[in-house]
Amino acid sequence: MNNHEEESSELLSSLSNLPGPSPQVVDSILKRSLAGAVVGASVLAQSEAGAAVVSSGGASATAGKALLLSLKAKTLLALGLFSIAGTGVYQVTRGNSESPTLVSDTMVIVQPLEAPSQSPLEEKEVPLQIEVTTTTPYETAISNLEERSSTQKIKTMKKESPSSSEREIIQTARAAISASDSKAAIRALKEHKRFYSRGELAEEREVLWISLLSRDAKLSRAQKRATRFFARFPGSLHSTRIKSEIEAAKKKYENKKAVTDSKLPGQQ
Amino acid sequence: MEVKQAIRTSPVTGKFDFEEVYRDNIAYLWRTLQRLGVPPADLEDRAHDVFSIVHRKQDDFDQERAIRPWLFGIAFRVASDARKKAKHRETHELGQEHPDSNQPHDQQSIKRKMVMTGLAELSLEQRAIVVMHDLDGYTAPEIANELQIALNTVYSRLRLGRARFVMAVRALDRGED
Repeated sequence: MNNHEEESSELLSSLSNLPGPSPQVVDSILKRSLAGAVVGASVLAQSEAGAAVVSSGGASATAGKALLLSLKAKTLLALGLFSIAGTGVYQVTRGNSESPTLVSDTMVIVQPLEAPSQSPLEEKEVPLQIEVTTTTPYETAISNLEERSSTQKIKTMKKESPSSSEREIIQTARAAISASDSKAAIRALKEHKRFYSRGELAEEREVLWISLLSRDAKLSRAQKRATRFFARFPGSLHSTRIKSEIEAAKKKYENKKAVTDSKLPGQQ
Repeated sequence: MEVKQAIRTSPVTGKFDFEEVYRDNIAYLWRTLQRLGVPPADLEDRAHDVFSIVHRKQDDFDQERAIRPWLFGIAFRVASDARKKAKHRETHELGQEHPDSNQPHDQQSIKRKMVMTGLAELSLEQRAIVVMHDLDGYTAPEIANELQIALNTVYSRLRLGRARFVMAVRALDRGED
């Protein structure tokens, strides 16, 4: 182990003087970082990755909670199903206990040992009884009913959960905007708002909202959202992009208005 | 070994000075990305990804902490994400030089190439921990904190990664594939 440590350090020391970036590259990266030229799916992925590091628990807590909830749900479901489906009951009793009670046709019930009323020596003489019982048709029917109701519960839970992950929803919205499918974009953005209101990609969601409204020339709504965005995310990398989107929306709106105004006299 | 400390705040404003942090750490980050196996052609884009995240998250950064482990953590996740996306891992094996790169074939560069090939044998998690510990000189608790993994996992990955790395380099040295 120690040999490996020394050898590893010695070998890795050859990487201590790896070449750095050229001054042009240094300036280029800085400009790109400051200009907020952050568009594209790869950035979304990176922002998620970065968030997990930066918030030292914040981001991972969100993901962790979701995972925990999912695991909890799965465990409960597994327990529920385990208690419903199956073929026989094994009841282990000791001594002169009461007759076995059937709970379901699959569950393995091991009765807890009660405190012995006899002395330890007497207890040794009590034989261990294992009784195997089977289910009646009535009990099977009951268990089937229970199983059906638990399936319904599963369906209900699925309805309340998001269709996909936070990142996927944002990517769907982005793709829909690119394809000029406003309805799909709005659906995705609303879904994100509903399930990940304060998610790690909330900033991206707002950017996409503004982008969508700007493209549809809904100027006042885009401006309102942009104002809220700048208040909520001061110094955002997307600021430049949003400003240019709003400017473009203004132009679109003015053009649209000019076209409408020019048509009005002719129509009258 | 790398110097751990770096300027974190502007001496004038006392706030996180992005440009200063960038200038102080870009060379370190560049080398870190190389050590994590990012191909030379992708270094600029990955460095940009890292600093985009840094810029976005600068307000969340705890200024009492050293910045380089934080940067390393981000670089690790960026490299990890890039590796997952790489479709042709065999041809673009992370950490290997491009076949057409004009590297001088001196003793130092041969050894460096051997080390990079040895590191490429490790998983990215093992690789990051070995580099952080044996090259950058971070302690195991620091690594556990930055990579958000259990301390015992750090020790385990370090031990296994180190052994695998050394064995791989030894095999290369003997001329085995």
